[in-house]
Amino acid sequence: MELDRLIQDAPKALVPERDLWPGIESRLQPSVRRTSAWALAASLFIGLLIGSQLRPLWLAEPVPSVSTERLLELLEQQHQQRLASLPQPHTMQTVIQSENTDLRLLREARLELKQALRNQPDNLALLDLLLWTQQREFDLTQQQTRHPQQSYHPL
Amino acid sequence: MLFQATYAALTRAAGAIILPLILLFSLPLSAKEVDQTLTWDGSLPVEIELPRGQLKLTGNDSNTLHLQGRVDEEASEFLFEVQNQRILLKVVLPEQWHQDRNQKGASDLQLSLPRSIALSMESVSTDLVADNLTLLMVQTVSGDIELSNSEGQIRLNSISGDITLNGIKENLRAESVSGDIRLSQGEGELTLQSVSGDIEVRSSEGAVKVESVSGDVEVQASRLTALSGRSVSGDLEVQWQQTQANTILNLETVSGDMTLRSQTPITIEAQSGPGGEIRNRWSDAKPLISKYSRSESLSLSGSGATARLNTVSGTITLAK
Repeated sequence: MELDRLIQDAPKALVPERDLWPGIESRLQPSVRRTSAWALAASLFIGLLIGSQLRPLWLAEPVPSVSTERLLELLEQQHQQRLASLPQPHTMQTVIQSENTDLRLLREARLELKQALRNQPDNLALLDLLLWTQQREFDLTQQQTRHPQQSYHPL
Repeated sequence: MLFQATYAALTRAAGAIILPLILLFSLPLSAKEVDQTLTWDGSLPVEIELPRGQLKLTGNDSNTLHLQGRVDEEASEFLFEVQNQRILLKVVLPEQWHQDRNQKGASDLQLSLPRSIALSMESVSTDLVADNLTLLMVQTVSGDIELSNSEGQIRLNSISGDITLNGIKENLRAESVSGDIRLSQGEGELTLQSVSGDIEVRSSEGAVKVESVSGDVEVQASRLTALSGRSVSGDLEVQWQQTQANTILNLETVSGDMTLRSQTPITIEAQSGPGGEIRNRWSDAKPLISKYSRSESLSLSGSGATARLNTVSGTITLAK
């Protein structure tokens, strides 16, 4: 009975002698601030990471597809085989200077067109121009191997 | 008596000296002159092999071939006859004739012949002037070719000689390495191709195809149904005064510049690669620049014709 009475008289809550919350809050605040900085750094890192992954899409040159590279490779192989099939001009024959210059121009154009096709693989006009350039190079090389001016006897 | 005897002796002596001299100088010259006629059976082709000199060919409605003029002084053989199912006109020169750059004494011939006869010719430096023919194939090294008022199948091929064409109809293909090609009043399917020689087309109609490696190309288009132009480093310039509707222009260069002049805007689809540029002086429209490949493109709406312009590193200019 005595015990029941003591329990009944006991205070329902213990009130601290002073307000402890400001101290607790001051201890909690730095932790909250550190979390924000980490979040910011993490966000930045993730952002940079994503950014670095996405970068080629708008800044770098497009990577040519395997099929474009393969196509260019096949065209080049075929072209070199055709050129190799031509007879070699006689070493004593005079090679016309202007034709040599034009052959060089055609070779450079071929390289330029291949690079352009890597950048614009869907541009059919470039592909057409590349095929034409190859044909002109072949024709001119062929012409040089049987050039009438070299022998003066076309008849 | 003495006088008469002396006179007679002198005359005989003079005759003995002068006559052989006259024969010596006159016989070879007269032997090089030619004036011959052959009758055409209506089917045999003509083949001409003339290394140097000048030749004038004139087509007509007759059935004879008439050759006149002077044969090369250095000729070791001259033929104008029917041989192996063809009519052969041939001048053969000694092996090393080309070492003598002097054209003195070279052939100077005129051949009139049926206009519908099939004719092929090969030469080294012979200049050819031809008129009113229908089936012609010529291959020359440095000789110039002038052809006028002809229609049919025409194939001309030169290394360094110039080709000048006027009034050519139906189907023409002219090719040169370093010689220039000029065409006016052409009509039909006309293909002109050069390596370093320039090409010029004026007042022509039909489908024109012009191709060059480093030579410049200039086309004045007024009644074309199609124009196709290609060049590697040579410049392309088209003056558009077109009256024909729905014409298609396809112009392409690798590094050569391209200029399209027109007073009335036509539909444009232009594209340049990296290093290339598009300049629009027809309107305020600016070309779109691709961020990744640095290529430019421009589309314009117009009327009458559509031009597809494509360059890798040249400049495309739409000018007035």
